[in-house]
Amino acid sequence: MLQIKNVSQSFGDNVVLDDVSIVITKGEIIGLVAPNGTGKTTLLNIIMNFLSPDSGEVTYNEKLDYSTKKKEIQMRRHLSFLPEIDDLYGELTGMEHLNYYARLWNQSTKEVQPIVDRLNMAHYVKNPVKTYSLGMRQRLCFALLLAADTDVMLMDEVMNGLDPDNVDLLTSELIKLKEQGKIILIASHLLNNLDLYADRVLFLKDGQVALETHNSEQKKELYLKVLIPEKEYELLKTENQLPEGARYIASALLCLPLTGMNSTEVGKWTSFFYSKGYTETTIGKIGSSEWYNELYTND
Amino acid sequence: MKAYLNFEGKLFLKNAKNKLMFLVFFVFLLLIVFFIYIRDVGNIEHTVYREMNNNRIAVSTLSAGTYEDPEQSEFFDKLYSQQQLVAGQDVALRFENDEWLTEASLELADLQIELHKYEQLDELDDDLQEIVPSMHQAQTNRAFYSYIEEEALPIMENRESAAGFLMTFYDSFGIAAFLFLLLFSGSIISADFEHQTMVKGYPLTYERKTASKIAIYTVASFLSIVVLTAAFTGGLALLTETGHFNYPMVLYQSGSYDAVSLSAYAIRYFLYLFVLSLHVISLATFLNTLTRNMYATLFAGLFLYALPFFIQIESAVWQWLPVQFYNVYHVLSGESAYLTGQSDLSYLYGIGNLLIWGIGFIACIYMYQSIVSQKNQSRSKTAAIENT
Repeated sequence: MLQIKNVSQSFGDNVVLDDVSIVITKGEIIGLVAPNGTGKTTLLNIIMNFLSPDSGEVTYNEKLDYSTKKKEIQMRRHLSFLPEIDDLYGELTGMEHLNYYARLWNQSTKEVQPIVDRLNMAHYVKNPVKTYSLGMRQRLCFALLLAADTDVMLMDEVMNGLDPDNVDLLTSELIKLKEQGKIILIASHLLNNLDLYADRVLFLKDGQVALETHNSEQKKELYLKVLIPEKEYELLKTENQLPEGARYIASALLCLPLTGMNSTEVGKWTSFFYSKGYTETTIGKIGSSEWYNELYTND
Repeated sequence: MKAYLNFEGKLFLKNAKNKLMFLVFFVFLLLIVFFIYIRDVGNIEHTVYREMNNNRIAVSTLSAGTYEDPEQSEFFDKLYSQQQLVAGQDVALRFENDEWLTEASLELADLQIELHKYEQLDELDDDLQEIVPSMHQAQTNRAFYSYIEEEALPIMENRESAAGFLMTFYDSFGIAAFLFLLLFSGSIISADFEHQTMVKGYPLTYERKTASKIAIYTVASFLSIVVLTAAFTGGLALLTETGHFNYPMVLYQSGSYDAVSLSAYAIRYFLYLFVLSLHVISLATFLNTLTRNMYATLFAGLFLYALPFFIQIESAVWQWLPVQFYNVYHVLSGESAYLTGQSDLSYLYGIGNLLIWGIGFIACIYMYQSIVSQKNQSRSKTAAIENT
């Protein structure tokens, strides 16, 4: 279990994290969502102890923290951080990087080749990193975490520069890691993709967790979603009695909860919207991108 | 730890800057060959001929009256004898008589040592003073020719062989060794700043990382120099001739000049170079930790290297500074001791001094890092206490 306890961090007058507490259990993937410069990377840096927080602490399994050098090294044996693609060593090959990470975290280098095969890296991994494209480097960075095979993995924009096929590939790998019981924190802007594997998504705003969505609960909460401009929504609201629990998100999306509605009622509302000319109607959960719009669009 | 050592070793060998350094070193070795073959460096015939001419010109400036002065005549007789002995060396060379040359050279060296006992030497004009080599040079020559006589070795008239190349290498690389080592290690710590998200996350303490880096850089830069030099010397032996590896090299030790064979000198030279490598790498790590910048590290290192060329202070503290020992050849040949008048500036003392200072630099790095880390940890502890 990874615990982030009352962490605060300011840079001058700018409060980036304000008393943030998060508990992450085994086999859980947490998505961190926020616009640029609002604390995602800072939080990951604090978890790795790359940055000492103004207050608060990070513990692993309630025994390890960063209070002594010995404990810090023990912590690091359980944690790994997705390297930035520019931080790779251009003169070395991908294979050299992978073998190094495996050895450094006391894993068997025999596991490296299967990782290479799974991530379709075999055709380039023996070339120097300086010859790699952005996507190739990104896959290598992800593969390094698989080679280190630590209990906790932190990833900042892991899908950056990947084509859709590779996004799917890494998504399936993340789901496998979750099944193996890994604790994974991912800061990402690919919100629809995040919904595919994240158990919880934390939205940071004004230094705090402004919203936390749970994927398991969301799956049960389906909505009839329709795009309606704000002025027309106001009119619609006065003319019609909207069902209880209806939400109007990001000044654009009306969401009517399907809980308690029968198929006739769903059909009635769909026909109603269609007759009014609102043809973009879908059924589904409220996704991270919709919550993102709700929280940050008007900022 | 082993994984980190392997990785750093690979990085050292594949690093673009280091590859350039290997190339520069190779060009440096080629330049030595150029100077031997094209500019006749170390050609004994040319050297003796030049000395003979200088002697002839300088002695011809003396007036007849000088010899008639009873107080001066003894000294000037010896100056005249010097001219004759140099001429004798030239004749011996022409007749290719090594025994004669050795005898003349030994006699000349003894005479030159004796000349330094006369006060009149300091009163000579520049041209005449120049023909009398320094006490250091005279003693070096005496040790050199004594060894040749004892071992009955043939005279190496030029350095156009592997052994001759190695002799010239010792002279020239001794001056440049510090600079090469500094260039190898100028970014030893700051290079990691370009790979922060990898390096910072390693499950290794700063102390272990730094110790590994110093070990790898010391061994790798030293071995690079040794292997390249050995390969180049070997190649030259195949292309030209091997030469005499039992030829003498003069080593200055605790006030005396002793000649040892070229191969025995190589062991001492490379041992000193290894200790210097450890010292320079530790110094560069220390400077790089403080400045966090490669150029600032190189500048500070160059400043320290150049210091003895500009300043010589007669004090015990100055004598203890390692900057005096950065020029390998000057220390081993005794030139540093002669120029500074400090007989302690010698081989064994240099090894000890460089080692102690090197360990001192490592201790300073650890102390500095410990202060930084304690600050960070006390912040974490305070935060933890506040939370409970």
